[in-house]
Amino acid sequence: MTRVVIDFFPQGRLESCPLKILKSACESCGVTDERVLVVSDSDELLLQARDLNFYSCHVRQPNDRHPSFTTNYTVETVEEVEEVINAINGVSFNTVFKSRTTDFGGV
Amino acid sequence: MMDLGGYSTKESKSSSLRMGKNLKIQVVLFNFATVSSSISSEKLSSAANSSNHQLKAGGTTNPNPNPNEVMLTTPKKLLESVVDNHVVKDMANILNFDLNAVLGKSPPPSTATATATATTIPKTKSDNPIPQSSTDEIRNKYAALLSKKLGTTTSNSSATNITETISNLASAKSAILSKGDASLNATAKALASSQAPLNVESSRWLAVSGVGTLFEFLNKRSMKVALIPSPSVHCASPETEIQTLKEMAKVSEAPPLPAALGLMDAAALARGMAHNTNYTNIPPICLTSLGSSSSS
Repeated sequence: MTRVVIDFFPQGRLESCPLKILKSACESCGVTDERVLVVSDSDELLLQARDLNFYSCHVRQPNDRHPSFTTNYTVETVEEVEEVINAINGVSFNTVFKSRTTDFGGV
Repeated sequence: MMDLGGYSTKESKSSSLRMGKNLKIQVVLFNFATVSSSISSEKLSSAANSSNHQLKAGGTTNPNPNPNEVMLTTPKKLLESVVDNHVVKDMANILNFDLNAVLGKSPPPSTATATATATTIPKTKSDNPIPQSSTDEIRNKYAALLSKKLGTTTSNSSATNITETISNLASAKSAILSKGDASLNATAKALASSQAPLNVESSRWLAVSGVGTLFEFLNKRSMKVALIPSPSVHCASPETEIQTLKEMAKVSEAPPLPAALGLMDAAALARGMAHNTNYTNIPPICLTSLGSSSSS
């Protein structure tokens, strides 16, 4: 069984300010620069992420309204975030090998 | 010293290495509401959507809404919607069954006589709320015994009532088949969905499809995953905030870390984390449910 590690999630009272939410999460993860991708469908979070120069990815359903601002990426499902990460970080060997698990390329 | 190709069992320092330090994205912040869904939250959102649609369509709320089109949340309303169904009403009229007794209302005076002359069919049901007088019960009992002894089926009044009821049921069945019972089916579906637990304690934290695979991919690529709440949760109501916190706390109910940690777990444990007043750092969580959903 595969284990998935989640490094941070809030405890205690929830914050209402998007700036505080993002800053707290980044500080807790030990990232001080802008190498952060925010995946959300909340306008407030995405707008704040854009103001902080983070990468923003909007998960928007086909029938949802268009936001009043632009984001770096827009996806319809959470699964497509993997493609966004590959587009930013580049394709890893792991991803390439994973896609070739069924076909070994033998002649 | 010659290297024989083995590796030491001692935890090497490579486990604490951050392989993704040169990545353009090191942390991915996921909105919790985006990647998760629970039965209770889906119900709340669908109920809110239905109320919004009503407001948008008519401007004002309909005082007598159609129970088949409206998302009903309270059990009392659901029960009323079942009783208001025309199929149920027809059947109750045929069987002389008092539907007001089911709802706990006092029966109208016209139905009082009907209950007194009730047939034996509703009486056989265990949950029959109609009170039968003891004299009627004794009379029916002895009438049935006499009919058995005499071998006659149509000699007493109860037997005639039964035959009338059966004929009425047959006619009602044909009437229902001609009208259709789709409305009753829709009501039954709404009733069945309401039986699912609404409270947060018994609801499960459910990840949207594909989230397990994505988190696994992020772990393999040495990226950190963080779940952040939506700001609107705080603004909505204290109940919603508490509910969201409880749902997020469900994540921490995953089984504890085993003694033999994997490379990812050990690396995550070795990470230094800053302290914040509102957000406390916790040890990494192993979501076995996510892993199982991704593997399947």
